[in-house]
Amino acid sequence: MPSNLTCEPGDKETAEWAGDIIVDVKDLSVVYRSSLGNVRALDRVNIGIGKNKFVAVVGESGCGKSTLALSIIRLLPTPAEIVDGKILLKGKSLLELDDREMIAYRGTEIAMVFQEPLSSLNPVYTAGDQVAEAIAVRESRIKPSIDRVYSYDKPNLDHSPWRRFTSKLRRRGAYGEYADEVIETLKLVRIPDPEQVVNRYPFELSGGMRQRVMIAMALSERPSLLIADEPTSAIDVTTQAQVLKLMKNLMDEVKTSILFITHDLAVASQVADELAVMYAGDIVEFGTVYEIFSEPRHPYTKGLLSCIPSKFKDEEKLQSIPGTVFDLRTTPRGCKFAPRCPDAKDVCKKDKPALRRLSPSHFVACELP
Amino acid sequence: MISMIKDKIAGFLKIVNSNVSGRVGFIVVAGFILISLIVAVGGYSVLPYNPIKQNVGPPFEPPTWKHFFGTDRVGRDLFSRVIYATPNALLISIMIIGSALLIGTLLGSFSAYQGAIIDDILMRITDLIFALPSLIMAIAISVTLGPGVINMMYALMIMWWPAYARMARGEALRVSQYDFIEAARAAGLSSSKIVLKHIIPNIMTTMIIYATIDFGQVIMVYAGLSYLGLSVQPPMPDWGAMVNSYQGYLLAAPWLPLFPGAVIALVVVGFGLLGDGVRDAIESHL
Amino acid sequence: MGRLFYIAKRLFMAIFVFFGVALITFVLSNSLSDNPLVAWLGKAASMHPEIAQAYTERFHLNDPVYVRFYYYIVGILQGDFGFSWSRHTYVSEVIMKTLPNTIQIVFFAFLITLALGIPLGIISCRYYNKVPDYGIRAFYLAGISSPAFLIALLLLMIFSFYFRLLPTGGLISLGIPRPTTRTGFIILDSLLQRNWVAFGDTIRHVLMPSLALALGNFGYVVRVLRSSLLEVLQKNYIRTARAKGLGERSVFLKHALRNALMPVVTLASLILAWLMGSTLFVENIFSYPGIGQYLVQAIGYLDYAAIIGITLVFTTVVVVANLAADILYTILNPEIQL
Repeated sequence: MPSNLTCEPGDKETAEWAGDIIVDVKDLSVVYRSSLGNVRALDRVNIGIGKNKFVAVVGESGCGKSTLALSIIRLLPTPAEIVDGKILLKGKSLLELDDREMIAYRGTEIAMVFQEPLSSLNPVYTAGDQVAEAIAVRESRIKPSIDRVYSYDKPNLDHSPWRRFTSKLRRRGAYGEYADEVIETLKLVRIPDPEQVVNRYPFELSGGMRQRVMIAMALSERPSLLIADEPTSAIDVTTQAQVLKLMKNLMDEVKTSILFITHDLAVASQVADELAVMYAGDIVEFGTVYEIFSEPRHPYTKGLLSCIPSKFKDEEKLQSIPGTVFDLRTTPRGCKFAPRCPDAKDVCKKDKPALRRLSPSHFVACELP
Repeated sequence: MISMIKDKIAGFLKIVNSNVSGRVGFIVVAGFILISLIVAVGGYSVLPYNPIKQNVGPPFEPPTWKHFFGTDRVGRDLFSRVIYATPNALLISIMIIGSALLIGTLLGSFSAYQGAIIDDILMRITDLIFALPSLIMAIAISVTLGPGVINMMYALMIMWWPAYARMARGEALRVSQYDFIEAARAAGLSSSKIVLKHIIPNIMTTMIIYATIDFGQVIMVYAGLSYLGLSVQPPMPDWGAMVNSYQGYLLAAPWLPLFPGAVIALVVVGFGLLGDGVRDAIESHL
Repeated sequence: MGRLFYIAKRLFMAIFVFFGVALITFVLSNSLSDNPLVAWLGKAASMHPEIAQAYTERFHLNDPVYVRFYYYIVGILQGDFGFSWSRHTYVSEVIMKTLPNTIQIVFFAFLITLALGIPLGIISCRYYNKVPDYGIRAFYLAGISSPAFLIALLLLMIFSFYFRLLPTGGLISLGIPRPTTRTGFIILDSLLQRNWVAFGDTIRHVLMPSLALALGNFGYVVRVLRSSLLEVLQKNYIRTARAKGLGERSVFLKHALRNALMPVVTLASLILAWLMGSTLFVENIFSYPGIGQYLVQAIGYLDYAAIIGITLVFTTVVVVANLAADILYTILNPEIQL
């Protein structure tokens, strides 16, 4: 495992990242402003995503994992504000880019797949059109112009005469110009019968298919980083397994890195190389999947692992972690998990623990040995 | 009971005052209602001049301090005439919206609850009436029944209730999904009791809000009909009819047709702002 | 195929409405008086006995109600609405002459409504709850709240009297050579016959009425588009479009606006109904020889045949427009499959 973190052992200051890293997030703090108070969604988060690595970020709802994902691609909703920190993509600082430049990065270097594929796809355009649009963006590099994306003049592969007749009115057929590439991309995501699917509208496809189309759109531009924000949470378990396998294969084929956000530790363990555990806006533990599962060090991680019901363990009750997450509008002193931690000490309540390095790839933010 | 009404009124005022639009709208509407009441009760004596008496001032006098809106060809004070016509507008719109609300809500919620054929029939009827241009049909009916306020009101009532029935039906369908309706049915309440006691109170808020916004529309249509001479007959003053009779003087005495028209617009704007304000306030709470 | 069924359903509905209106108007005309002759012809019954005679024969006015109704419907379907005694000619003839004029101004008014409403709706949304939004809201609120006759009077006063820019009324000035009537639409005819003088003059006459109609209605477009845009811009697929790397302009035009305009299409048929309602007053004030002015005069004369006939025509136009808007909507919204 290439090292993502270099710091002196026992160093209490924030650790430094270096190495073969595609995306490097340093001390990122994000705040959501509201009339009821400001919520600290991310509190000086540090994480590095290596080349061709599958990194999963796991945590409960509200811990900030989606915020982290959206911050990297800079698509945070309006009430959110990045108040501190740096995000480096291949060494280039993303936060300093203006909107135009950031747009150039989106799709081409960083692509994102979202949780609900039905609402994330435009209902009035066919799957083919939307994938073609992504390809058109790549083709025109920095500034996709409207003309380019609107240039539909190839023959229609419609199956219904009515559709053919009304296609002029609906400005369809983008895939006409990029038809071959669209079909290729759909084959890449293992969609059966791509020639039919290009003509289908999102509501005509199943959840798994829609998610594949989303992935196709994202990967068509061959990004360096693919961010997936809970892509499997809205689909059934069998399809979920297929999509996960697909993503893993694609990572190897397309040579991209994947940042996978999920609340499901079990899902993460199936596909990820490295795992980050988040709690209340902090990354509390980071390491390879093997390390996290075999030697979890942070009490929260340990708690999460014990919550996974297993048929191999002899338990009568389902385990859970006592307590709830505190009100995120306040920032308590010391370790955020301390109130719920069974092994909390006095020092835990005083200072916020920094990420401590246990091994070249394993880091934990906890004072306990 | 009284305290519940007081609470509701207090709540309403709070919503209305929460934004600029609501506040301004409320002032205008409140003014409108107030003036109507004062004139209705007080009659000629509350007005600066007798509205139908001629030669209270020099003819064709432009607006001055003595005659706010000027005078017309026979020396009648326009301001008094316009104010005198106010309660008419209020009364007519209350009657129309009140009846449309009543009929529409009852029909709509019963139909939604019963479902099946009754619902279908109601839907067809409302579809039919919806498809017709309301002003034209109102004209046709009014003309047929004969000029006069009562006939015009009948005509407008006929054209108005379907919108409320549709709205009530939609809301009633939504409310019927709630469990307490199921509970009421299980308790053995008759259909009519369920609709009256459980469904209707829950849809009333939406219906009343819609009705408030609708006032402006009624006044517009009523003004149009009275412009065409189909409503209040002379010598009773009436805004729309005034505009019609004075429009020939547009060049010579523009205040004559323009002031009554402007008053119509003002009242409608008031209701529009009130409606916008209420809607904004409710939406921001969601 | 599902779409064809949907359209067939709508067509059916339209026909149903049409017959409903015919029935209503028949009932109305019947209730006017026991003597159907009086109902239809009013004063003309005594003035033109030969026409009264022809009428009675054609519409079987001496026969019971249902027979009359049958011939009434037959008459309508053939375009015969009876005799308009206030104009001393057949209702259908007058309508043929006046309806194209109304369509001219309604058409332009529709264009102006969209040309005003859509950009202002977009601006209103961009500057949500800021000064431009409030300014636009004040503007359109005044527009939709003012009765059509007030707007018409104001425009007349400003442009005809003060600025002396546009003519006070009518369709075409006196000295201008008229084009020969081919299509019935003077504007179209003068264009086709390259009669530029007439064309320009008619445009000047048509401008103010159209503007008066549009000003009273564009507010609805602004309102609907503004809220529709605000809603659409929150949707997830906008986020996806941005994530794909599309520029703001593409995102807005191709994704947001395309979806946001759909409620406006639904609104279009309502707007047409409003325009047709307002045209009565506007035509009256501008002395514009359209079907609205015909109706207003017919009311004055109590020319019932004309009133009933015009009501039917108005309603048919509105129903057809509704149907067209429905069909357009099914084209634009692929989710309508049924």
